[in-house]
Amino acid sequence: MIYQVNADISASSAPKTADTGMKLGNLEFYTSLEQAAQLASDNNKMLFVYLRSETCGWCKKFESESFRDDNITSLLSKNFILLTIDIYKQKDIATEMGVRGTPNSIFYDASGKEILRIPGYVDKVTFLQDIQKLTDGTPLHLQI
Amino acid sequence: MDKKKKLILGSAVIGIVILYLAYTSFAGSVTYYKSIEDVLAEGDSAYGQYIHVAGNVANGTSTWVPETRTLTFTMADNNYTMDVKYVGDKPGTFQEDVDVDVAGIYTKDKVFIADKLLFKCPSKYEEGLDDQAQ
Repeated sequence: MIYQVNADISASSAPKTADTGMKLGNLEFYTSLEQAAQLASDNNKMLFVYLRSETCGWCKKFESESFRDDNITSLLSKNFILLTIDIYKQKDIATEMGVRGTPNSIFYDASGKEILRIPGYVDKVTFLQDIQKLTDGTPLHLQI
Repeated sequence: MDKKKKLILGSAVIGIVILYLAYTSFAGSVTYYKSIEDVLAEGDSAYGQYIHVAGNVANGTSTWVPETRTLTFTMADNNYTMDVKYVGDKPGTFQEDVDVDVAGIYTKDKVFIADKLLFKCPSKYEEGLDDQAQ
């Protein structure tokens, strides 16, 4: 397991978090990196890490738009293991992932390699286009 | 050629350059995230790379020209500033004094030509200001 950005996230010294799960919009997310990463590896699925905080207005806007969109929720549920990280409650993980600001969406392939990062709010059309490229095999040359 | 046509042609050329540089820069799917200070410190080597830079939209610096769909503003971070130009539909969420991540290229004209603007809330956990987070 790699889950590597600037450091080996899976080997993080961050506190282990009991996974009680969290619902955002119409999606259920894991909250434990260890559990979500293991599931992604075991099931050969991509991992979507969504970093947020309870006090982030852009996060709430993004969640109310994208995580309630049927096309987006369907694509995410089918193709990804979903993990959300609260950057204040799980700050060690956020730091190791090099996150400055929220919302921040990071996608990893099943081997743990980062394949896309969206470091801020995007509208649901843009977000849908990005995840469609990940799921239909479109080269990521223009992924930003 | 009148001024309006020149502006439109200029915008189109900038758009084509950005698409080309984005394509060539992303051949390896590598994305670089830099601070304004980093970019300015790199000097000539900073030009032409497709990168992400984060900062705050400085108050009173933004202008929008609808005819050319051009948005310009100054981005600030830790007392360093960078002029940004974005050509495209003006994001409905754009406003001054917000944190923004811009994606694009830094040019020899000392202007960052952005093709994506992403808005975000600042994280303050690095500064130990958890309770004051926005």
